[in-house]
Amino acid sequence: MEKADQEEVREWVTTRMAYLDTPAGWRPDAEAALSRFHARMAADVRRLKPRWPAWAAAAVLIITAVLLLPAGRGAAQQIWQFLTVRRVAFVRVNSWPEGVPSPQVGIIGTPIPPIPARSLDDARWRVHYDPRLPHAGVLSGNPELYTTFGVSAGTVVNVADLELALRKAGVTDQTVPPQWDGAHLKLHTGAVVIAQWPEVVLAQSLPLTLSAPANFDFPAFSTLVLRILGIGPDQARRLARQAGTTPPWLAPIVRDFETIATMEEISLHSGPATLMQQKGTINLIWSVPDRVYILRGTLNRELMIAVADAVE
Amino acid sequence: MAASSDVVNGKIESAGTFDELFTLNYAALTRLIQRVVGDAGWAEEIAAEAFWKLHRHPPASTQNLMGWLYRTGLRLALDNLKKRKRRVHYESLAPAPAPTESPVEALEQRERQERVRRVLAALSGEQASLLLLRSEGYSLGEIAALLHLNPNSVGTFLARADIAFRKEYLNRYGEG
Repeated sequence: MEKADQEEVREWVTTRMAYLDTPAGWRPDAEAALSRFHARMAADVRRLKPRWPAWAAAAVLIITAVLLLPAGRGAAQQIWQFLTVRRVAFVRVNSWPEGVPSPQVGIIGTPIPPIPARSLDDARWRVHYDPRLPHAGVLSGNPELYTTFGVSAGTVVNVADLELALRKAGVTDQTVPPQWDGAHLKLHTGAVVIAQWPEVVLAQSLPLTLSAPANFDFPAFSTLVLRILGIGPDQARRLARQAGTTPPWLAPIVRDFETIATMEEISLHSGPATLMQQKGTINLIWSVPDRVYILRGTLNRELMIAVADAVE
Repeated sequence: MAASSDVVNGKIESAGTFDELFTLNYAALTRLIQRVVGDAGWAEEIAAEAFWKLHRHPPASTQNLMGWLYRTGLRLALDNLKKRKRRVHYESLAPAPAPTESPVEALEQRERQERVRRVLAALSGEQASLLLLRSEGYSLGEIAALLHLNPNSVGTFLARADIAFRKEYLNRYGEG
């Protein structure tokens, strides 16, 4: 066809296609649509209710085990600093002193339940990192895969409560800097990948991120919390300082935490791990520089360790 | 222009999370689908369905996810258009005439739109998509990226789509 004819046809078609122009000024509301989409995702996953407890256990364990701080009140408008928590360490401590507002960490927002993933590629695309699984031959069959969005939890420092807790714990050589009052401390997990076999669930996340006001003294705060929880001054300072430039965040586990029958430190090929047994279920928690893992299952102790060692 | 430069590059890595991808593309995709179905509410429903498919069953490759999304959205819209029952449904949902239009003008405008939609429904999905994207203002490069076509050939494909559209239209309605 000649170019002039082609132009004429294009004009003719364009004129008719213009009948379909959308109404002037109409703009679809993406924000409202996204809210509806999230609601649909949540409703869809509720159909998979049996999967929820596994994820809930993993997420809640990550959040509550890693951050145990006094609840507080007030707010502070401050510039935030972010620290990447590359190592999760556990230490047995006493209960929080009676009569002082109990240490609580609130989950921020509403966690969206896990969403099934078709394959590792599917999961990788959603979470933007390479999920790692035990190598072939350790567990039989392919796991069911799920991903979640990140979860955040936080608290606000209350100086008066900390001072009262220190007194109740009999600690007389520590003071609480008044400038801590109202400081918001938040812990964020990245998106979590959950792999589920019949007897084992493996949850993994990128290193956790801790946010706090600029210049907030984490080692001093960690030391103070550990002292309140019954750790001696030298050990508290050592635990708070360990790992040098990549601050560890200590996950205090109260000594009389009745649901944990046993807790022990073990060595995996990748480093130290904490193994907790309760009523026939084993939770194995460990971290490497670029990942935090929780393995939960009903296999025996040796098999659980073998599975953890096979994650690659 | 509705499409971002990422479309031209055939990549959407910069879109980051799924929510970001949704926020960046929802309005443009819905407007495009509205051209096909003629009803805002229904267009939103179909656009959301396209995102749902992307979320639940994403393609193996993460390259050009926007293209995948637009092709899926257009296919859903055109499939719906081809189902007569649904067409009757959306015709009943068509927006009320603007206050400045007389009832006769509104009826004529609706009839003109329906003719175009029926012709689009008779074309191949690719040809209909080409014409819809061009009428929404996308450049040849963007159309090529979104429909996964060779950028050097998209002009030729569009010319063929123009011819197919006019032929189908004239067969059905004459010069009207």
